[in-house]
Amino acid sequence: MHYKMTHHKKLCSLFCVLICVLGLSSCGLEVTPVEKGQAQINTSKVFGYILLGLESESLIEEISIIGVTPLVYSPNSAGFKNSFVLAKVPVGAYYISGIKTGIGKQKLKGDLDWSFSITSQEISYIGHININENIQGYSWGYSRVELVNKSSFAYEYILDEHSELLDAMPLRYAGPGDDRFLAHLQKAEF
Amino acid sequence: MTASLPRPFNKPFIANLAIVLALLCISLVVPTKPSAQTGPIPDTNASSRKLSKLFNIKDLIKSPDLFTAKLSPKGSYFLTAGYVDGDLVISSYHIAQQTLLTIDSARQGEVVYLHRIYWLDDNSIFLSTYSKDKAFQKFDTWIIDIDQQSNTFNRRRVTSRGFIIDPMPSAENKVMFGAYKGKYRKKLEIYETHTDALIRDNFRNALEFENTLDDATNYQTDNDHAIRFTSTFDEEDLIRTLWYLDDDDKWQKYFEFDPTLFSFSPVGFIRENTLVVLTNVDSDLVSLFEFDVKKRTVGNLLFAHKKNDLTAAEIDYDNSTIKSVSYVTSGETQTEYLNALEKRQDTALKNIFADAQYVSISETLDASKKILFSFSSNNSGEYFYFDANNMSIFNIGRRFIIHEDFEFQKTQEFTIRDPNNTHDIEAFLTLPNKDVSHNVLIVMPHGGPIGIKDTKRFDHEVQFLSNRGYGVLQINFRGSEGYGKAFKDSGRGQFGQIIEQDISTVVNAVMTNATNSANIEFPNFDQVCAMGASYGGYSSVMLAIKHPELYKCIVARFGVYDLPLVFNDRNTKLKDHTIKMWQRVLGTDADALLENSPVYMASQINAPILITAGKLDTRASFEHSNRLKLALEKVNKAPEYLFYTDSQHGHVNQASARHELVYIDDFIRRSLDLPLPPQKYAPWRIANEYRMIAKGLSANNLVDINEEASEEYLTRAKALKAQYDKAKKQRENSD
Repeated sequence: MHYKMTHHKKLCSLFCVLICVLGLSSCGLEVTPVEKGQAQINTSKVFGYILLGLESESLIEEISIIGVTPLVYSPNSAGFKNSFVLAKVPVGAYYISGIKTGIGKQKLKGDLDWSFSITSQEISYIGHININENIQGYSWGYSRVELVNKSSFAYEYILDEHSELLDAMPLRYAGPGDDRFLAHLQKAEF
Repeated sequence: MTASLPRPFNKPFIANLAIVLALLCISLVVPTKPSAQTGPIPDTNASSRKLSKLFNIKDLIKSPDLFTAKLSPKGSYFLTAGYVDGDLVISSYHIAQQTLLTIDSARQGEVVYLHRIYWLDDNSIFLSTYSKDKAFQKFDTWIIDIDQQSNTFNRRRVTSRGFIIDPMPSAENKVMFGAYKGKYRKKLEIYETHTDALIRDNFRNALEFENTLDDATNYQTDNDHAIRFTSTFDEEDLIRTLWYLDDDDKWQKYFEFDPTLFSFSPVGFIRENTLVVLTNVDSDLVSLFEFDVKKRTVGNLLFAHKKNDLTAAEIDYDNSTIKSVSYVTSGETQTEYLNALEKRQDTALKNIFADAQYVSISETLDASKKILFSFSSNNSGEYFYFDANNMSIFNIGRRFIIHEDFEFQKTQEFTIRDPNNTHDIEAFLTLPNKDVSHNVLIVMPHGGPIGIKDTKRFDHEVQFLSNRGYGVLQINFRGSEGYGKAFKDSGRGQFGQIIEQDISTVVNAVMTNATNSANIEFPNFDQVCAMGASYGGYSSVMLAIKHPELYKCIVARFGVYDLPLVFNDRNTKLKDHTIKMWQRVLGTDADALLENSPVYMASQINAPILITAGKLDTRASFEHSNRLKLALEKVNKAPEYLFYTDSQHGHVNQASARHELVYIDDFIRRSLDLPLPPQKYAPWRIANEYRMIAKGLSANNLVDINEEASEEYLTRAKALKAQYDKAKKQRENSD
């Protein structure tokens, strides 16, 4: 499923960005990862689970997400090979807007689709943020940031770490583009 | 700096210079075929060593001892590049003086690759090397001046960042250079300059080419070494635009085309306003045409092969005629010379190389001296120096010295007519090493599938499988390159459909010993497996799904198994033009893509399957392989899998490549319940390979750790060793 932001939501988002720019820092809701086996079976209609993957050799300091409520994830950790962040966040449409690594801060390319949606009673896997930074000679060579669909790894992670949550609600691909794999994998009759 | 013989070339060089030069002087009219060996001195024990022993995988997958050779413009020197004990070594050889000079060698253990190397004039070389790890990429660029008298050299570091557009070899110390300038070194400036400017990154006294075109980066010079051609690419519409610089120094657009659908390559101007081009815009086969740049129209046909696309052409600018055309036919690379003198030379050289193919990879400005590379399906390649003035030839060295001791199998080409009588399907069969044959056929579809083809070249994977007793069948199905536009286009959007039909047509012909174009008597194969990489990995799984009665095992390597995912496995692929590009390969029928995706057909996969993949693969994204693994696990058909840590769409280190191949041999043996080769052929080889597999499965940074499997392989290695020791003891006692 591909969710497009409504005009109203865009305005909300822009308003929040404006507040951030004006210096009212910490305006984003801090994304707090759920520890293994600690996920609560969420019955609330206003919250859902976000599942985000991280892949990078870089020191990731901050990931900024804009949406109904701006989100900020600050892992302050380097060397993510295939790490996951599961957290409870408000339901709604979002997009990833920027990242900050040890090398620098960058706004994500506007010509790429960084959008995703969070729904209640589902684990919304939004993709893996893949950050590939390379130094050439003595200067910064290039930086490539992509949102990569690794649904099969997300499924393995949830099954290993939060199987009780998977028993209660399905894992859904919520990132850019259509993908039926997770729905197929979780069919009663495979 | 002292001269020394680099180790890889010792044997061939001694042979060449002392003996072969004299032996190989050939007559122009009646070329004398050299006795058996054209290179190294024949080893009297060679015939006994060239038994069908099992190869050591480390001898098959290794860095080449020699991988290029280039003649200086006037032919005083040739330079060579190769690896000695894994370290890059670059040398120059003075032909008249027979002296060798090592001009660059990597420090022991330092992983350095050759990036670019050119002769700038007869005594100067432009050399660029690079080394890289995950986060750091370092280029070292030098200009090396050789002093012929003292056989020494002087090396100066190039500080300018950029690239050589034309080394201008006929002009001493001059070069056409594209320099990256500006704050972020993003601006391309082009200079015709003295080489000193590259050292200082100072182009004040250089002649700047000011007519650079926006968005163009790949400038080419003409025969007079003046900037003449460039191209631009519209990413959104997938349109390449070709430009030439007219006599008024204005860029003129002369052709626009979609490179995913057509070929169009300029060769050079043969007359004013008449360009010679290789194209299939107005023909099915890529052929040589005149092209009027003013009218922008394709003109007279100059050369066409009867059934294959042309791959290259050369112009004789002195006579404004076509010098040669090249193509791949019957799986072999052929260059057809169109003038009488070169034609005679070619006949003489073909006599020398017998059934091997050869290509000219470097020549002097007057084309009187050449470096030739000779190779075949059972020869990994040798470099030769050829002097047309006295028709002499000598062997510079082998690409892999140790391969001299191996007996590789020849690959045979044949064609089978499609049952509907619509087209021929070309295929290649490499027979198994008959001493250890298991009568097993491995069907090996190639990657792509569009615009790729198999040929009769040396293929280390095919040779490894053949050496272990398996026959290998490769098929150029519809969609393959080289048979014309219609043949290539007919494979588009045919994943799991007519492509696999073509493969099955050939497999059936081989299994039933059907008549074929080459009248090959196909041997009996008792069992069949499918194995391939990339599209070949996908195709192998689909073949086993469609013909479960035939395929007894599957090796699916670096493949795609969920076809819709090809379009959107990352957000950078969701742009319209990227989707359009992939649609040209996979088609637009979303239902057909799902229906032909192995991930959604896991319950139909019955044969034992090994899935191998690179964790860093972004072309056939790693996700595909993990999905197939997961889908098979869901239906309780747990596959074997090897996911390599540093590998991409293929291996980037030799340890992974070796590990995968020896594991594949073991997987096929276990799947088909095949015995190990008789001990006389492999006394300790298999035990060593079990150890190699075990080590890989327990080492960090190679493949996913599996301690249990590792232990099992170690146990098997020990058992095999004990078995061998016991047999050895029995032999000794009986003696």
